[in-house]
Amino acid sequence: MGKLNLAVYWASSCGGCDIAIVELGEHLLELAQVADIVFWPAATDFKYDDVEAMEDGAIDVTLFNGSIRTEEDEHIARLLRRKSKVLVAFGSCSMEGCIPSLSNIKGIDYALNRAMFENPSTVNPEKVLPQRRFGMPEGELILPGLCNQVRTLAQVVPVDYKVPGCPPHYEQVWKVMTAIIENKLPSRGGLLGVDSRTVCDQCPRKREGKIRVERFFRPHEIVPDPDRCLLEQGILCAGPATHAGCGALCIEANMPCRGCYGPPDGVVDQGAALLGAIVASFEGKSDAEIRQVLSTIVDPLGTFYRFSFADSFLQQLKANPEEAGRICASQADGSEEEVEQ
Amino acid sequence: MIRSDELDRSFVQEVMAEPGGEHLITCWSCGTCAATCLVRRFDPSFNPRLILHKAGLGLREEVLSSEEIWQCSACDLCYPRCPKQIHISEVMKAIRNIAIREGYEPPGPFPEVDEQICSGCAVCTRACPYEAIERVTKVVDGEERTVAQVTKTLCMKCGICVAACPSGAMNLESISDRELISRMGAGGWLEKPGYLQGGAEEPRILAFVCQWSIHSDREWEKIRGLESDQLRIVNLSCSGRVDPAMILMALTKGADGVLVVGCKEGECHYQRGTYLGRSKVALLEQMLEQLGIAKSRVRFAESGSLDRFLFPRLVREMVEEIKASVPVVA
Amino acid sequence: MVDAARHPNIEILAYSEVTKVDGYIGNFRVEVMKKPRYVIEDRCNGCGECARVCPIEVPNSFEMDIAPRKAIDVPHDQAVPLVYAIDIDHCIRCYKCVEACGKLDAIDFSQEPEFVELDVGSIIVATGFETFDPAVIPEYGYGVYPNVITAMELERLSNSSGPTVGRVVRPSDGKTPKSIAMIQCVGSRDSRFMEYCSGFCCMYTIKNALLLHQTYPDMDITILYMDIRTPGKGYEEFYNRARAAGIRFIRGRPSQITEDPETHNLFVEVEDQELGEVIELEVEMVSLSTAAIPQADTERLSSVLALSRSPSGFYMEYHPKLRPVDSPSDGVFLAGAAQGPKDIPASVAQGSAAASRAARVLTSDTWEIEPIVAKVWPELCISAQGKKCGICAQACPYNAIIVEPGQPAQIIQAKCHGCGGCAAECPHDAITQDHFTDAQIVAQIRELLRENPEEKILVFMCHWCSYGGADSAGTSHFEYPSNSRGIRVMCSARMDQEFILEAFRRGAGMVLVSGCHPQDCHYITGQQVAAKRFSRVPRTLERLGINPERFRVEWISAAEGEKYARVITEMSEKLASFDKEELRAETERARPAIEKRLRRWMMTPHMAPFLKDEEEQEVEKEVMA
Repeated sequence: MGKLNLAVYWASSCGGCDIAIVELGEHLLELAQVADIVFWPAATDFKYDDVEAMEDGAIDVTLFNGSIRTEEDEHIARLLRRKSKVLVAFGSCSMEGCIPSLSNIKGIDYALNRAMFENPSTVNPEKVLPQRRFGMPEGELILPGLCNQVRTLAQVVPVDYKVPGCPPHYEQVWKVMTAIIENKLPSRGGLLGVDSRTVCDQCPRKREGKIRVERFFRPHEIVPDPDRCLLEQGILCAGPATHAGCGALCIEANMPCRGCYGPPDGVVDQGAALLGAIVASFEGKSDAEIRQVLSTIVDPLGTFYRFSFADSFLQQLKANPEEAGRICASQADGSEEEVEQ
Repeated sequence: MIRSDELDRSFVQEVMAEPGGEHLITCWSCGTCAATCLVRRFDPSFNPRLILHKAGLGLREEVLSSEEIWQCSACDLCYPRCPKQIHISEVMKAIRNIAIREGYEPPGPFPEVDEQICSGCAVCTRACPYEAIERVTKVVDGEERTVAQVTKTLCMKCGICVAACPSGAMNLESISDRELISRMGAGGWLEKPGYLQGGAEEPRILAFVCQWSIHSDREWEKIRGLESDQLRIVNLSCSGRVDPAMILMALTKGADGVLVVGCKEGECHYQRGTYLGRSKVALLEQMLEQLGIAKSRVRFAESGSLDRFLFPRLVREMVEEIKASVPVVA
Repeated sequence: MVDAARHPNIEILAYSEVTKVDGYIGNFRVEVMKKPRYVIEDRCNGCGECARVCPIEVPNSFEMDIAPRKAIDVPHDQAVPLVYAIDIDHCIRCYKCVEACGKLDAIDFSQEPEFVELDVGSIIVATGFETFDPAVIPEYGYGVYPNVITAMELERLSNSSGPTVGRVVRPSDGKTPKSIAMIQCVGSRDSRFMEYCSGFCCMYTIKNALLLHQTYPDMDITILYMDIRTPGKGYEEFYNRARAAGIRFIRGRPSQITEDPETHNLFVEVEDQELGEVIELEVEMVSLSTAAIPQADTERLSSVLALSRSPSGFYMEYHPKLRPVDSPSDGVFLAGAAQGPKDIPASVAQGSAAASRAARVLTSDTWEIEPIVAKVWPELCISAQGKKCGICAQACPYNAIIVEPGQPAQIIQAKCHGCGGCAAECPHDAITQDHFTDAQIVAQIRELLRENPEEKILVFMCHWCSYGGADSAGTSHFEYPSNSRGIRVMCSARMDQEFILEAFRRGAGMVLVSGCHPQDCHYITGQQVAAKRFSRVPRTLERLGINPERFRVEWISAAEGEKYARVITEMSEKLASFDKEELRAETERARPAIEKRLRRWMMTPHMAPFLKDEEEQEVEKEVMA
């Protein structure tokens, strides 16, 4: 058996997923013995042209991280799909939209405005917006256009596997790599790099089980008891509705789970499942009391769907036909350069 | 005929010595509780007055072995109406405690825990209005884990735990997710395009109705008769059973609005089910607002024991609100 | 009423309020406030021209507010005296009435409340009752559903002089209902509201049902009841008539009434107890037979007249069986529903009885009272020395004590009922009660504790309740230990804290003080005075070094023989658990402190001999000799 051809790509992401792979450390040497990295923008110097030049299916496995935010993301996603036998949505962004997809709540115009003008740390007195095309002495610069919506990889191309996590835990990454190397990937369509059940299964904290909360605290508002269930202390912990796999890392640091490992097996909409679980933990004996508890949940949408908005029912609801047409229309110059649907 | 030697006079003392049973003999059988009781609508053999009366007479075995004593869900609708101020559900509890000691058990089916999936996260134990779920540590597939376990003698089968479980580990046969989803979509109702999608003349409403919130058979019949292409009714064991994912799913399909009808504050058949249903819808409303979607597309409404023919009005109001607040896609 | 108005010896002060009552039996001085009618009584001839022109309509309370009346009106057509009055809160002062009255010139807007003083020998309280407001029962929907009405409203609707001239109609649409349900015991026999049975509702409901049946033979009439109570003469026969006439009777108390918002028909849900099944009855109208409740100002008048009230809130009679017409205040009598719900024959009977009881007073020159009245030793009363006190007057439930600075307290013996509360409360032992003097009681304590006092339970009993309870324990042959010793006084209010201390000084093992239950007190508030005093005793005992567990307070009614036996049994068991030596030692240790507290008795007339042991007296005699 020859060496495997492995590709890693980052679309719109923070780079954390690439770091997670780098974090494999010495395992990378083991990996190098059995696989060639044929494309990895964050670490190696291959060009898109190199990929274009490959035969279709030439890459054995592509780990694709990052969400689909720009025309470029979409373009490369389609390219890599063609070139890869196995395409893995790697990390929360490509799997379910993650933080970038929260911008879908207010839309692209709001996001641009916020990022370019309103952000308190931005100084932009001339109100400069990045231009799609810009004439330079060296010639015309063309930037890839922004899509109206942030999408998951699977919303653009068919995906074979998904690896959750923001970012995936390196031990889980190595498990995925091992499965690839040993050719022990399960049948297509499932999750890779996870453990059974939910974060609570791995959480060592003591759950009393009957305590309900009368208000919620944001993490900075109290110092929680490190041994007791955070939810029972009024901290909105996403553990019950989050797939196990991280080893309850945040919780060990006395911080609540935020849900980056996505929904448990068989659960379609993580936010809805979390909402149900959180509501079950309220104490409220009247409408007024309930409103009181509810008022302590700041930003329910962002809290329940912090990582999974792009892959949620709400995203489907939000997207009216105009916006949801999966269109990557260019923003700045109004050119109608549509990417194939 | 009941012979006097079958009447165990000590049973009265036994019940009254049990916490909650103190008021047994103050009952004079006026029947207010029986006429109030909603369980009777589904099971005419259940009659709280008769149970108290039999216990007072000393029909010990008949009372303890009857299935009826397990049916009172302590909704306490009768308690504030009782002219003798007897806390009937407490008396029932006292009788049940004796029955439990004697080894009697209520009839099933009960919610089942899929121990393979259960993480022991304690969401269900907190959700349960009756503290009927415990977490137990046991060996599952050779691994020692903590999982949920239902205490049959306390469970009222409301299904709140099924809705609360975030990983789908809890299931109750008659009101499973699959059962509800199939009722929602029967006849392809959900697949038909909605008003907002430009596919229907009028907004299409999916209503989840708590079975206890509609208090008379006559009314149920009328409400059932309203079902149409525009209106789908799915009855729930409790509004606390409603699953936010189902609401959202329906909205992404052919339902323009989802109406959840539960019992009035203080009248919930399962004590806190109404609050759970209401909270879920309230959070959904908040999230829709955050998204810039008309929050009138979901609504939680109360139907009290004294409300009659309220439901058609609720549907009508919802239809009007949706029409008023949402621009129609041409 | 008209006859009464014409009688030369009867003066009717209508539209008036009793504001103050002084004096005592045979010599009452009553202050009455005559409210301003704004119409001069002597001039008004009742022609009604003023009402005809008055432009203001207000709800007519006589018609249960289902019809209007003018802002100048008479209460109802048969009112006596037939004199108009202006409802000044609603009058807009258009003076149309003045114009209409013309030369009679009876209207006078300058009228003020007028106070008149009456000297009377006896007083009869016949203030009647009110009906319960069913709006507080949300499940019956009164005030929410237009077609749920009260029986009194039905009464007005079916009355030929009522607002509909006798035509029974539904408030929602003015049509005669084809079906009606009458619900019994609304607010009565209900521990949430009125525990008692109002007594006459069954009869008037049956009457209403028969009346409706006669007028509207096709009307479907249902009476929903828990028990039909027809104990009077001829009543059961009347009930039989209703059954025979085809009125439907369903035994069961309805749980709720709901309304069809379109037709305004009502659905009454009730468990038919005979069937054991719930019936949902659709009717066009519901009538609620509401409880009879005490008048709103019962409490105010009870303080004016020093009357006590039963737990139900109605005025309490002196004795439920033996003096059912007398009030606890001599010379004040009760008649009709003011004393408790009753129907017309019973009201008439009680009214007649009250009249003759009252006449007894009026025809007597002298009046005999019980000889157990309180007496003041003027030289001991500090009020006589110009100091402020008046504690005795506060304790007196009958306002029988007058305290004026510089004068010793003065007891109006005709008003004193002999509870002895003042004697016990007086901090200077300046009051005693004839036949229950301190000396007499202390002597009893001494004798009862002469032998093995540490094995005894000394019981103070009130004449009316706990003594009766002890008696009933005996006559019912309830077993209880034989180590209790009883001292009877008239009221628990007479049980001076010093008696309790004296008992412990004498070495009593246990002391029980007992009296009536609060609502049963024979002396209106005597029990309250006692209860307050007793609540302080445990702390006092503790301070003196006496184990407060040796003291107990119990309220025992004359019927509670079983309770009396149980209390004594419990106390006896507790006493047995104490070490006798230790008890004696406790007494010895506490004795000097107690004696210090009892030192004032030494100065009280006739007391000294009873405080000392006979040996001491012997020694004293020898010394004297």
